Amino acid sequence: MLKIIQQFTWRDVLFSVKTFAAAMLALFIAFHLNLSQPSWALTTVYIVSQPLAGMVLAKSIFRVLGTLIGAVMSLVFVALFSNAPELFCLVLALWIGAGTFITIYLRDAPQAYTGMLAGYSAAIIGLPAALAPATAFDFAVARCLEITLGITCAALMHHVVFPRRAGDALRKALATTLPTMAQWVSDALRGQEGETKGLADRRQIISSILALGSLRIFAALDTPTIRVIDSAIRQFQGKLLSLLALLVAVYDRFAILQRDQPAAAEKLRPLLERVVTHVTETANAATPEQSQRETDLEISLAADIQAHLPPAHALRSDPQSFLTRSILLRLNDIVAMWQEIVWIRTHIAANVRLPGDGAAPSFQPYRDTMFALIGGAISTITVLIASAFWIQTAWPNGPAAVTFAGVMCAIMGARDDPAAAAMTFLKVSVVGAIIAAFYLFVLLPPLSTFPALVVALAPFYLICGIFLTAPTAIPFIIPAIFIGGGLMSVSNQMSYDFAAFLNNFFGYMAGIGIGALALALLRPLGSGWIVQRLMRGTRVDLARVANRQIPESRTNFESRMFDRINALLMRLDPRIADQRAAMQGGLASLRIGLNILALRRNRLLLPTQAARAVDRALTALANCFDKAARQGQMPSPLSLLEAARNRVLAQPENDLLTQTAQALYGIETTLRQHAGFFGLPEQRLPAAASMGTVEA
Amino acid sequence: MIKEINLDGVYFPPLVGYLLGTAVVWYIIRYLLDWSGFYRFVWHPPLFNTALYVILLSAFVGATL
Repeated sequence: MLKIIQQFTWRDVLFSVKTFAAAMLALFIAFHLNLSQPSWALTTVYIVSQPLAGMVLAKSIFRVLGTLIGAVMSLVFVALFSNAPELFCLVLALWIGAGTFITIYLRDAPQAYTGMLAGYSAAIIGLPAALAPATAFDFAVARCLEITLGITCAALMHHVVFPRRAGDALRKALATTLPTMAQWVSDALRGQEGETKGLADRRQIISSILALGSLRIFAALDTPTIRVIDSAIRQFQGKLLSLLALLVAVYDRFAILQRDQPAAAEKLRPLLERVVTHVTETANAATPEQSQRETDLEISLAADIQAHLPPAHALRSDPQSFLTRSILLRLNDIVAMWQEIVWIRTHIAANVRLPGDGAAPSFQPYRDTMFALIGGAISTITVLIASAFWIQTAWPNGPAAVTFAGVMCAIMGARDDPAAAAMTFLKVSVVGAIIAAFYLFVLLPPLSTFPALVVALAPFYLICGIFLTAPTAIPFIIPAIFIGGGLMSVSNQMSYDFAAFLNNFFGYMAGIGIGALALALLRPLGSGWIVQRLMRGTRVDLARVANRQIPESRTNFESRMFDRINALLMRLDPRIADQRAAMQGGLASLRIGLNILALRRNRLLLPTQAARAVDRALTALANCFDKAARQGQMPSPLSLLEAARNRVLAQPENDLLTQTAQALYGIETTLRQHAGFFGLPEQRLPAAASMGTVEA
Repeated sequence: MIKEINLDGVYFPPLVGYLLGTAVVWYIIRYLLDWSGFYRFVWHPPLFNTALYVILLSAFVGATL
């Protein structure tokens, strides 16, 4: 808490003042138009306000859209089922469940917010409307108007008055990306960092590259000029992820090489050093021409890498030279990839479109349908339970409880530990209610003018506004604003009725409580469950890639994998041995997947004999990963992979065959290195390893 | 004896009193169980806690009827 307060700067204070001004503007207009619930406009301003203008705009668009869809649906439900409360509650529960499903399915895409809003807006509007069908339409229109009003004021204020644009933030992030990356290249290739620090660094660099993607979406909304380089930024992001995959591959393989053949590793070290020098030197190229000019260093580097490559006959006699070969090839790729990245970067810096611009690769996030279905089902069940309680007890504040039970499940559904988050929401709501009571029964009654109201509201909302800038404080601030504002419910005709206040309060609390309880009881246990789902998803994905006849594009696969790895790394601690193994296993899966993709691509061009061997290996891999996904254990595919490699090498040599053998060897070593993560049978490992040495 | 709870002229159903009273006892029992390491033997702690609350509540209501 103290730490958060110490971090505040004048920018945060400015943000709070701006938000408060927007809120008061919305409130004033709502009073002037004599809307029935001006507090909704006020609360909406605080809900959509975020530090960057583009973020405000994105959230605003999808909030309005969600509210409109929810309002229309609620009117449809009222028209169809207002005479049958049981049916009404059933369709409402299914609708909220569908909204929650969409929200959880789309994850962090800005569009996800629409699903949630469409779901619970139908409850907020539909339940009171169903009780008084004659005024249903007015009620729906009022809610839409108030939300739109709040959003308009917030968007206006954050865009016009001292805006902080996502575009500027994006440019700043892009400017620091390359130097950070160059630094990381040198750390990774020199192998200076310990394992724990290395993983922590990787986690940070992956999340910062992925963050470029969401920042790009927001920037396109608030900085039109940046749209010119939109596709360049996408390519930049994709290539950075590819580079990352290459670097991790070299890093891990070099570690094996150092362990198994220290002499060979020492021979490669000067080469790695020169790649590092090359990368740091070219990081600052300013123009496209400069980035493309081949320096003497680069030419000699390429020649040296070529000279170090073990000849094809060496691969047959000694499979371990595949290791050296793959490190060298990846180094070659790194140099080429780095040049492309720097070239794209110069275009971004100059804000010009890439020449010969085709379709930019799109970032493909991972999806977890099952998880979303579970979240949606929990929402539906919870709303049904709350409705049953309401209908059975004929409790006048039942609708509020039903609404809040649904709201809880919708907004908390995607969290790692939704029950704990809902409990926090409940506790902060009590604080918000106490503040609201203080306002309603002490501060507000004597006041009669708008300026006096503004002065009275200022302390509460200004303090909340400052805390909204600290991401860690948001879970504690939003409930206070939501519940406090809802209970205060400032309007033109204020009534200070303690009984009504308490009834409302209990309605809210019961709803939130039911939501928290349902999330605690129905969601599978613990946050470790999410990690398990991610690991399972990785294996399913590998099985699918191995099974697919026509390989999918490398960027698609890479971005989806990195998205999942990012989610995995965020939840794990590299200082704990088990979790460190899982982090490395996640990165290893990416490498296996890329090798499988290479096999799939080569497979189409191979001679029949070799193709059949590769087919058999791929089917075996698909089966193994499928088993690993379902049972956490897999039969060892290692001997099959080795047999396939020998079969491929037995053919008369050509580049394609060597490449294929290389990919097979890569999968084999990676599986062996991360046997625990993939659930390989332990006892076979020493046998497999000794077989390798016998052959060598 | 069951009667409505009067709070500054606002009447509450007696169940509210029972709910709050049970919650206090429930919190204390949970704290003690947590302290004694009992939860290591529980398969589904939230389910256990909910069941515990319901049992306590019905015991209190049954005892005072």
